[in-house]
Amino acid sequence: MNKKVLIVEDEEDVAQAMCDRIESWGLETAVAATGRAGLEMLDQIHPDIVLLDIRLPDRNGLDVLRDIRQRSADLPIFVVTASHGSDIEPRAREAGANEYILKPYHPGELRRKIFKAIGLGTTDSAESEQSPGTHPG
Amino acid sequence: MNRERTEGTGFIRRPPVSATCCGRAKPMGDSARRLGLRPSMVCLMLCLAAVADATEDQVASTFSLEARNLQEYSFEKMFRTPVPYLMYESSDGIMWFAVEDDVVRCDGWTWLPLDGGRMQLGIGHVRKIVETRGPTLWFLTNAGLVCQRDGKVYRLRQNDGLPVADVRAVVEDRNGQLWAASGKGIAAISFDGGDGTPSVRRIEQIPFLEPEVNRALAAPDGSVWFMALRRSTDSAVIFRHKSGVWWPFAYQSGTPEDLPEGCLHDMAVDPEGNLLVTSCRSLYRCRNMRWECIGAFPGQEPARNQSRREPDHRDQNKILVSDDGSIWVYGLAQSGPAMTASLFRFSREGKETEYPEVGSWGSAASLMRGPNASVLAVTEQGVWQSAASGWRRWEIGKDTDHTALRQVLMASNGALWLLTQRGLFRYAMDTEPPQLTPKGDWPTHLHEATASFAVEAKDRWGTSDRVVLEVSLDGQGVVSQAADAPILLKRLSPGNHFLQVGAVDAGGNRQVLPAHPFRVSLPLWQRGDLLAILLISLLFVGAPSIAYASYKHRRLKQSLAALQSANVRLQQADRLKSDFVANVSHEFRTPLTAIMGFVDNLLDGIGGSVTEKQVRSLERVKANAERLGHLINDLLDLRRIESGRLELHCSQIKLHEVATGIIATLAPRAEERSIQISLGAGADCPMVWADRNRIAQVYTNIIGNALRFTPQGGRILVEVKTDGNGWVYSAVSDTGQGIPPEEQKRIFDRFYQVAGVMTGKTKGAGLGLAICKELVELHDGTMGVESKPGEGSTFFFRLPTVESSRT
Repeated sequence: MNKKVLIVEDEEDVAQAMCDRIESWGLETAVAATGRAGLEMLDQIHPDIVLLDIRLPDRNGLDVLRDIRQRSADLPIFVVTASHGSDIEPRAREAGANEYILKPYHPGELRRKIFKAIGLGTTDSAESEQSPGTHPG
Repeated sequence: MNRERTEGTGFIRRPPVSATCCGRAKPMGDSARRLGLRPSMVCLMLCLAAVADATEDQVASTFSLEARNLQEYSFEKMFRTPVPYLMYESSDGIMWFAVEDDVVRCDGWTWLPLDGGRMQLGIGHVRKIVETRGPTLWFLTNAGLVCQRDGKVYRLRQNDGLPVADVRAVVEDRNGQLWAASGKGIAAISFDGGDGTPSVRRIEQIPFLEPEVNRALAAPDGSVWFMALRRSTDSAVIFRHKSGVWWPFAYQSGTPEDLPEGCLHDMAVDPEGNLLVTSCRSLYRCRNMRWECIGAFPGQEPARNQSRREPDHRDQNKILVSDDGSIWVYGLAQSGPAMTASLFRFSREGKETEYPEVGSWGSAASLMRGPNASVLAVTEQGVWQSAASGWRRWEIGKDTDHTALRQVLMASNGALWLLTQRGLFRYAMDTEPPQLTPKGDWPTHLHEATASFAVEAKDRWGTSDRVVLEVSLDGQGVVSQAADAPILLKRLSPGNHFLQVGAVDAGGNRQVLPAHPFRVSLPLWQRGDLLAILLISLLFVGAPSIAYASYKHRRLKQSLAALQSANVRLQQADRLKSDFVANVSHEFRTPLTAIMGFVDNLLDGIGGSVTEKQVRSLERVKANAERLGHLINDLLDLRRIESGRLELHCSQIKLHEVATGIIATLAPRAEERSIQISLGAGADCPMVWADRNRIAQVYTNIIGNALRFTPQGGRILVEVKTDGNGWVYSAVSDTGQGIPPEEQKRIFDRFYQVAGVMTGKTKGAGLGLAICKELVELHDGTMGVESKPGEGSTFFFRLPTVESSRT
C-alpha cells in the first residue's frame, strides 16, 4: 500500500502542483483546504506525512501543528510556507515540525526530505536535483 | 443697662455720636416746615464767655444760644392735644413724646402717634419711659405697662399677670431678664407669649418681706437692686437679686446704724460699679457687700408716714454721677419753714462741696450730665452748667417764654429740645461750625515716617466728644477719627505732603483748617521706596531670566515630547512597513510557488512529454519566475536590514569552504558558457565569525554577477587571503568588460544596473550588490570594487577573524 501524504494548503493551484509532483513519486495525496478539514482527514486517512501551510483561512497553522502533534507524536510534519520570517522556523520546530520548507519549494529537496521522513529510499529517483542549501538568495 | 426718663424737669445726655448720625438736624427742620410750623426767629445775643473770665458772682458767666433755627412744635395744631409732659430719645435716634393719653414718636421726618393717629391709646399717665435692649421701649403708666418693640405695641395690665397696674420700675439685668416692679411685687417678663408678645412669666415671691418696690437698678455685676417700702413696718428696705437668690440687705450685719428705715431716696452706681444710696441726710456706698457712709448733708427726716404718701421720693436727694466720677446729690433741705433746694458734690477724692446758690434758681430742679463732664441743673427758671470755677447760665429764649422748663434734652443729632409748660421747642444747633485750631506748632519738615498733629476741636457746647475729625493726606481718602486724639500719620513716604483737617459736630457743621504742607525726608535705611526700586530692578533682571529659562525649558520639553511622539509614530510606521513587506512578499510567493510548481512538473515530464522547444520556453518561464523570487527575497532582506531586524546566526566558518560550495553550485552555469571558475589557496586562513547562509548569499551574488558579465570563455578567480592582522579577505575577479570609474561609486546603490553590458541570460534586479555590502557590513566587514574597463572587475570584501571579532 502506497504511503499517503496529507497536504494542508488553502491555495488550490499550489496544492495541485504539489499533488502532481508527489503522485509522480508514487505516493498518494490528500488535500485539506483548512486547518479543521486537515484535522478531520488526519483521522480518516491516517497519512504517513503531513505537509502543512502556516497561513490558513481558519486557524493559525502552528496551532494546527500542535493539535496534530498531540494526536500523533511520531507523524512526520513538514511546515511548507511562503513566510520567510526569521522567527517562524524556530517556532515551527518548537511546535513539533520535523522540517521547514520555504516556498517556492525545490522539488528535489522536497522529495529527498519526504522520502527520508517516511522511510523510503531515494535511489529510485531519476530526477536531477540540486544539492540542498542552494536556495536562491 | 437701661436708661430712663422720669417725669418732670431733667436732662438726658446722649453718648457721643459718630459722624454717620450727624445729618438728622436738617431733615427735622424740613419736616417741621412741611408741617407748616413757622420758626420763631429768636434773636439771642450770644456770648460765649471763657471760663477764665468768670466773675465772682454765683452765676459766673452765661452761655447763650443763638437759636436762629428755633422751632416750636405745636401739638395743638398737629394732634389737638396739650403740650407733651415727657420726652425721650431712644437709642435709635427716635424722639418719643408722652402726651395726654398717647405717645407720639418722631423719627425726624414724621410724627406718628402710637395708636396710628386717633390719639386714643388710653395708656394713662406715663410715669417713666424705660428702654431695654432691642431697642424696646417701656412706658410705665398708672394703667399698666405698655411696650413698644419692632413697631408693635403691646400692653400688660393687671389682669395680664402684673401684681398691680402701677408699675414703678422696669429693669433688664445683665442676662437680659426683664423685671417689672410694682407696689405689690416683682414680675419676671419675657417675650414668649406667642408672636413675641411680652408676658408675665412668673411672680417672684420675695421670701422675707412684702415689698412695695419703687425703684430698681441693674448693676454691672449682674445683680438687680430694688428699693422698696416694707409695708409691715412702714420702713424702706433695699435688697438685691442675683443668680436667682434674693439678698435682703436691710438685715445684713454691717448696716450703718444711721441708715434710717423708711428714709431711702435714691440709688445709683458709681464708676466702680458700687451701689450708692441716699437717705435723708447721708450718702452710702455698698462696697464688697459692706455699707459705708461717704457723705452727709443737712436734711430733714420726713415724718414716718410721709414715705407712704410719697413712696417714690420724687426729686429728693437724687444722685447723679458725672463723667469725672463726682457724685452729686440734689434735693430739698429744710430751711426754716420752707424747703429749699440743696446741691452737694462729693469728688472722687472725698472732697465735699455745697452749692448754696442753687437755692435761688427756683424750685423743681433736677440734675443731668452735661458736656465735658459738667453737670446741668435744670429748674423752672433755666439751665445752669457747672464749670471749674462756678456756674454759668444758659440764656434761652428771651423773647419766648422758656421759663417753666419741664425737661431739656440734648439729642444725638445735636439738637436741643426744650419742653416747657407752654410748648415744645427745638434748637437745631446747626448754624455754627465747631471750633478747630491746631494745638502747638505743626511741623513742616519731618525726619521720620511717623508724625503726630494735635488739634483742638470743640462744638458750640465746648465739648470735643461730639466732634469728629476728618483727616485727609495729600487730598486722598478722608479718614474720620475722634477729636480728642492727635492725628497720627504713619508710613509717610519721603517728599512733599499736605494735610487737611476738618471737624464735624453732631449737627453736621463742618470747620476746615487751611491745608498744612510739610516735607518728609528719611534716612536711607528708612527709604522703603528705594528698597522697592531695588527689589523691582532685581525683579526686572531676574524675573525675565527665570521666565526665559523656564520658557526654554518648557519649549525643550515640548520638543522632546514631540520628538518622542514622532519617534513612536515612526516606529509604528516602520513596523507597519515591515509587516507590509512581509505580507506582500508572502502574497507574491504564493502564486510564484504555483507557477514554479507547474513549470517544474512540466519540465520533469509529469503529466506528459513536452517538445524540446516547449522545454526551452518553459525554462524561460522558470528563469523569470526565479528572478521574481530573488527579487522578492532581496526586497525582504533589504527591508530587514533597513529595520535592523535581520538576525545573523553566526558561527565559526571558513570562507574558503563557503566559496567552495557556491562554486560547486554555480559550476553547471559556468560550464554552459565555458567559463572557468577557479578557487585560489586560502583553506588555511583563519576562521571568521559569521552567518554561513548570509556569506553564502554574498558569494552567490558576486560570483553570479561575475558569471553574468563575463563573456564566453572567460575566467573567474575566487581568492581567500589573510593579512595576518585580524582580517580575512576574499575577492572575486572576472575578465569582463569592467566598470567605468564613474559607475563604480554607484554600483552598490539599490536598483543600480550597469548599462548595456548584460551577457548572461537573466538580469538582476539591481539589489544584489547593495544587499551584499549591507550584509558584509553587518559582520563588521567592508566591501568594495576595483575595475579597469576592458580588463575586468574585482569585487572584494573582508571580514574580521574570530579572534579579532571577539576583542
